[in-house]
Amino acid sequence: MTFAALTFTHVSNVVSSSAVIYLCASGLLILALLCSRLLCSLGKVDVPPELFNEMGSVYALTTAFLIVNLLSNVSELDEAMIKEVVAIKKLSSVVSILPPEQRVEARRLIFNYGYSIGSEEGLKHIADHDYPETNLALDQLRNFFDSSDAIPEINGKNQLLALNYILKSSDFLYETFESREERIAKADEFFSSILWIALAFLYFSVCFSNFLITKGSWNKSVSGILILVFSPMPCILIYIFSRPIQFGLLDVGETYGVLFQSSI
Amino acid sequence: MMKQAELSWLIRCLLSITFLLCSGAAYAEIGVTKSTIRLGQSAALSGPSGDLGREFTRGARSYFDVVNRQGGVHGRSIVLIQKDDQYEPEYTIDNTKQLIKEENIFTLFGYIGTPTTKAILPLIDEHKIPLVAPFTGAQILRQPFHQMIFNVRASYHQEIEAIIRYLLRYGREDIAVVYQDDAYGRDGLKGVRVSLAKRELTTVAETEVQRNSSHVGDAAYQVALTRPDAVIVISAYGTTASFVRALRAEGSEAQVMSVSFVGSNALSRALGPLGHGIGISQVVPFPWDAKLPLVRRYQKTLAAGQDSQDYNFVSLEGFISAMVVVRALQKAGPELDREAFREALESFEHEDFGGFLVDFSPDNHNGSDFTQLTFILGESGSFIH
Repeated sequence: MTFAALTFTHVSNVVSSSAVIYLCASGLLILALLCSRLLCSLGKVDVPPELFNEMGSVYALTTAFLIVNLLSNVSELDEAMIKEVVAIKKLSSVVSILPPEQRVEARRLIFNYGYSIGSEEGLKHIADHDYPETNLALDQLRNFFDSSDAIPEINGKNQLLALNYILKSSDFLYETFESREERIAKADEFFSSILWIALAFLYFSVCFSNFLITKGSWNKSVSGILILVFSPMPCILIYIFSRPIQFGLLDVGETYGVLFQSSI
Repeated sequence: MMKQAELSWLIRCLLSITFLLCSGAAYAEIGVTKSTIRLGQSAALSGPSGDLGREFTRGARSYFDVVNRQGGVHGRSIVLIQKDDQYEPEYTIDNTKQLIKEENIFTLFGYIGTPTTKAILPLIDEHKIPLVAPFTGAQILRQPFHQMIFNVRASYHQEIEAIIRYLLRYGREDIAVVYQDDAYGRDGLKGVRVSLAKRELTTVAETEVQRNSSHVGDAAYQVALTRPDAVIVISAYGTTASFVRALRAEGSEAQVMSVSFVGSNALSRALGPLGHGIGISQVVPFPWDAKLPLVRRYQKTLAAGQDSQDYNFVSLEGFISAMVVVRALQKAGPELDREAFREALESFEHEDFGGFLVDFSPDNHNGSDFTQLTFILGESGSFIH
């Protein structure tokens, strides 16, 4: 996995996201406190202390499971990106049999496609998949390999090489497109908003059960502050791991930059 | 009785003869002694085009050093005497006069640039001194035929023909030209016009820029207005880099192309990410293509020196040029003079320099037609071919 150098943007992203999460957590905490007071005002409530432990355990297990799952997704996305880079490299090598003018055009289009991913598509990973630069580069690449320019001149000397090219180039082209689809799918899978609602509900339940079992305003204040400080932390991690490119866990520029580090 | 003045003159003569005999310089040809052959080069070693001269010399010197370490050519070491002209013709003339009159060089070698080389043509004719491997593809050194000039590389017209053929093949018909306002730029412009005229086409814009200048905003604006598919820039890397920045700032996405003289690696370094996708025609093989024996030898020689793996097109051209000179000196034999050297060069028939062929004859001094297109890749100074 390639980690991006920690930049000011990454730090400011973490700080601003943490602030938002803590703000939401504070709101839920206050809501839980108000709800517990409302419930107590309606009559005597005698909740067993184990309830808080159970709610806490469910919250801890759920967030731990989500974090592990997200880490695995990050790793898979990284693998998909590397696979794509390798496919692009292989495609650029196999065209060496083409005549010079066709070969250089093929390589130009292949690397333009790689460049557009590293500079646009890979960085954004937006939901509607609207990447004009990458889509254009992809169309141009497809058109080239559909044209007669992608066919080498076959003569007595290069028959075997030409045959190998014809077999391999379509495989590598397919591999290039397939790995793109895989990368986009992996990037999309990350964390749906419905899970955030579930997490918020779990957090609210933990706070609510805490206020129901804790007696005395001092105790309620201390336990409330402790919950507010520590419980949102897994959510911050989940938020970061669900956006690995934005937070610099995966360095798209460096991964795709490998394509351009050697002359071919 | 001998007068004192006559005695003094006699003593001076005897001393001079003794000195010449001791230094082994009692050889008939200028610039050639029993132990050395002196080559002279005036090149841009500083200023906005300084990279070109430095890199060309790096390649040439690395080969001369190897030859000298192995005992030289027929026992003579090659001495390359360099002078910096900053790619300004006035300095080139002064440098060349010094090289011929004061440094007593045997042959001129590896002059960098068209306006600079053009400026010394009268000196070459006057002194009948050969110029081998000028780093320019200008027609003025090819037509009319110059008996003393040996071009190792292909001409700019041949490079431009390759560029135009490629652009038209891949659907870029609206072509603009930005040319340096001197002999080099005008030669390139003529090449574009000739090449397009063959196909009954014309340029959509022709704009000039000044040599060694970064004030190219107006040129970029004028070119961007015509919305060309491609722009061919005939200038050195400093001016070309400024132009590309200005063109992109105008919002133009036109394909930028240039010829080998631009200095491919220097241009890539100067532009960073903006350099990605710029096309450059080359007149030497790909310096990273180690399949070619020439390139393997070049890489091995550079790696053995202090320069490690910093390969590029200009230093490879310097390396090839040095090989051509050494091969001709070897062929000329131990009784070296300019006539024998010229005849040795003219005897090159499909002379193989490890996959790079050079052909000269008494009526052809254009050694190679080799051209290929390359493109700058990313921002790390890599190329595709």
